[in-house]
Amino acid sequence: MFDRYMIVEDAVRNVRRDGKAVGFEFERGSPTTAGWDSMVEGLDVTVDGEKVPRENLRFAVGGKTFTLDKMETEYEARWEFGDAATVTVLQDGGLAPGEHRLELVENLRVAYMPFPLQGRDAKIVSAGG
Amino acid sequence: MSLEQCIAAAAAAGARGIESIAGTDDAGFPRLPDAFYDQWRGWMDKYGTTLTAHDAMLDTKKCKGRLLTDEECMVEFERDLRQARRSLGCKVVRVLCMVSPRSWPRPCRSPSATTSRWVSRCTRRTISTTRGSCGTSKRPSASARSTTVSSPTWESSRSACPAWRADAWSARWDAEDPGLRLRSVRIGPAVRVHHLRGPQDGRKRRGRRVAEQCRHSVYTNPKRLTEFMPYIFHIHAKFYEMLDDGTEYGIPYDKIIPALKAGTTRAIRRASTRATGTSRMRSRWTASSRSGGSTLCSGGCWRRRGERDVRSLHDCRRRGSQRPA
Repeated sequence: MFDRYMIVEDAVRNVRRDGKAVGFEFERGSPTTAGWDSMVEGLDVTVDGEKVPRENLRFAVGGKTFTLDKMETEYEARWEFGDAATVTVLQDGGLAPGEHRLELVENLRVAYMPFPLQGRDAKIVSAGG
Repeated sequence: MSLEQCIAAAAAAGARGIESIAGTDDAGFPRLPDAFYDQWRGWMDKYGTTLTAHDAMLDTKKCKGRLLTDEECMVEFERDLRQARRSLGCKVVRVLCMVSPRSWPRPCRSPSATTSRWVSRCTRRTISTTRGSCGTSKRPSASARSTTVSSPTWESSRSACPAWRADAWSARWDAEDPGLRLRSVRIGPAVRVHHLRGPQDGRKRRGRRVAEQCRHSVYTNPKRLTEFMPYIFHIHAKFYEMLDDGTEYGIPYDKIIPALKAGTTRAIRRASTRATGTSRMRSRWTASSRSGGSTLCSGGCWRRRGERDVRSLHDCRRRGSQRPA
């Protein structure tokens, strides 16, 4: 639902540590309903047609950062309505200059829906802009 | 809009009854500080509004791979009851229809379809466990009477369809005039049929569930509300899509409101003609062992005690069973 707002295209930036780009991050817009972090059933990120391994993804919301495995059992942290989450992709060198096709597929378990709520968005982005 | 701005806008529109969806609206829920409750009461006073219901979302899918157990739901439900009664000061709690009725001590429900077997099962259980006390109720949701599949439902349904099928339907959806979207109710059976023929995988199962969701929340004749008026004391109105003239085209409020008015008149007349008022009403509709009592069968019709329970709505309709006058 409201898939087109999932990737915030002007909030993509490289993540640097000790002056070296170790990945990039982008904002995932506000969810349609608040819930626990554990209710994010799955998150798939594809950059230029290449799927990012699950272990290279980090999900941050409310000031806390989790791996996807850790998030499955995170029953205390909540993803509040109105809060954008930050998805970090660990990738040496970050996002190279120029345009890239970024795809995000997200499955949420929502209590009032009898099936996982799946959202898809794809945008052309560039780091820092 | 902030939460306060929403309340102010509702009050300005003349809607003085506010339903709290704390799990979504109140950041920090369920651990809200006392200051929040003070602020909430301040808003109610400031805008002349009243909290009429608290929504217990009961995140039954909190744990991956399983639903919360009845005991876990009970703990969460107890928390919501406390939240509603002690902190917010309202007596009505809305519960999702996905939650097992075994989790509730004295439920108030939000059925997807008034005549569903699930609702009948809940109603029977509630009547029998509370012995017709004032806690028995049905809280119908207006969406159960919608005449179209709303855009949000449609958007979420897309994810369960193959891309080519979803795109084709989307093109039709976008091309249609809102007034003609009645045709879109066909997506439910269409999705189901497609997935029955499709590959045997998880996507098919999900597609079927989407289809069922579309089908069962599409339409129930508003006139059937009048049958349940003794148990209705709160209506959960919804507005999925508003036209520019302020009309909600998907939910036939022009039929719902008259049905409720008619039902209210009938209920008042019935109550006033009972010699002993509500106590007699309770005894009449209690599914107890008292002679002369009536109850709901699992198919949604009314039967007198001693009659055979009818197992399907189809049979109920064939029998033409009606609530006893």
